[in-house]
Amino acid sequence: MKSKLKAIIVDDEPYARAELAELLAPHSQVELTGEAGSLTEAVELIETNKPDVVFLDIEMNGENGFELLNLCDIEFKTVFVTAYNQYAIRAFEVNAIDYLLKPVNAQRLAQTIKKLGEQVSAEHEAANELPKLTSDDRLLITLSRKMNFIKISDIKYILAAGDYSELVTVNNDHALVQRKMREWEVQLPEKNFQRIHRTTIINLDFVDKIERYGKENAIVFMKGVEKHLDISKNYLSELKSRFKV
Amino acid sequence: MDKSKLHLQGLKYQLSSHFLFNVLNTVRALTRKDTEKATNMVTLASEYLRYALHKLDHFETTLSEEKTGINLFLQLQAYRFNDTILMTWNIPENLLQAKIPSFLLQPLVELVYKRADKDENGGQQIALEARLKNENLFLSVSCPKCLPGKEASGAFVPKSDVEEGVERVHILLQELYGNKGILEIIKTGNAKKIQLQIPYET
Repeated sequence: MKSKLKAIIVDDEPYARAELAELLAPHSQVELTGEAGSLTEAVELIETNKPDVVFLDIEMNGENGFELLNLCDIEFKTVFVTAYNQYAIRAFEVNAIDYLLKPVNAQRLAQTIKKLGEQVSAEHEAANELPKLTSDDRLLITLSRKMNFIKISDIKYILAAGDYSELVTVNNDHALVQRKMREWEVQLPEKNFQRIHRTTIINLDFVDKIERYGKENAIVFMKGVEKHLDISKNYLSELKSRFKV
Repeated sequence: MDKSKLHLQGLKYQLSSHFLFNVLNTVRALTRKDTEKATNMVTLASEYLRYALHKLDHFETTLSEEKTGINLFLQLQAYRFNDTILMTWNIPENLLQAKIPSFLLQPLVELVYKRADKDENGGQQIALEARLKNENLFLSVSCPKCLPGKEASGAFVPKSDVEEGVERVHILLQELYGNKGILEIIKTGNAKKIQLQIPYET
């Protein structure tokens, strides 16, 4: 690991947070950058700290830790830390790195951190090795069972679909591609493409109009597409600073 | 479901993961941070375990004994969350020996504790009231100031572990008393009350 893994702890019990922090302390590759006692606090902390990993309790004062995964706009790895064993299968379904039972066994935690480090560095390496694409490059893609060469500049927008992504072309054809959003972000030409949400990357050439939505959010309409796409708070401020007149 | 199975479920609920392993986790943290608190918590947890295991052999208990168990439980919760819980007991002297099924009230207290909002001094108020009316015993647990709630008045639909504990109480009442056992949630403004009604026995 070149850089440290940024971590935060989300748990409604102060002593449980303190105990996990104590257990993480000997692992120098993990840097604990914050703690949250509720989902609302957690969302805010994640957006400011952008952690690599969240150690997440499940049943918290009337809230359920799984909900956090829908509330956040930033990608991170999840390690569930709970006294319950009945959520393990559901944790597996949401691609959690690991599922630790309280009180946490130190050796078991060491395995988790090893796995975490390996996965994060493998993903970084894989993403960095991908070739950069330019607007007139082509990709061989299967659209409605027919293979065709799609020009990068003909990609209208891309939606996340788990480990896959859904690509929408200039003709509004859809294709499912085995590629993660993060990989697209690395590969696509920055000049034309912009991430606007955890689940969305758009081609700026196809933007029809952008409308403010509430105080901090906005929606974008793409040319020839009826349904709008959401721009999250974080990416809206990134867009503003990138394209400010 | 028969009575003894429900009884065992009651014990299992009271000692289950959301409680036992979380208590152990807090004790482990406290042994590093505050040994005096850790010592107190081990004592409380032992007393609580003894109380709960004793109930395993007894289908019935008295309101007075249930009060002792609940007080231990709330002290443990207060340690876990660093909370101040202000519990008010409104049980008339003549009802302290009233017989109730074991493992009846704690799930209700736990649910209300989870819903109780903090007052200006950071304390959470909970009240337990017992009264007798037409040979029926009414037991209610309430918080005068509750967090904006999820459940509506009336029928109870369980969603979390704590709520499943309350649902078990509901099933137990139906099994033991048929339509004479009633469990309901009553909301008035910010106050919330969970109330049960059973035939009075001594």
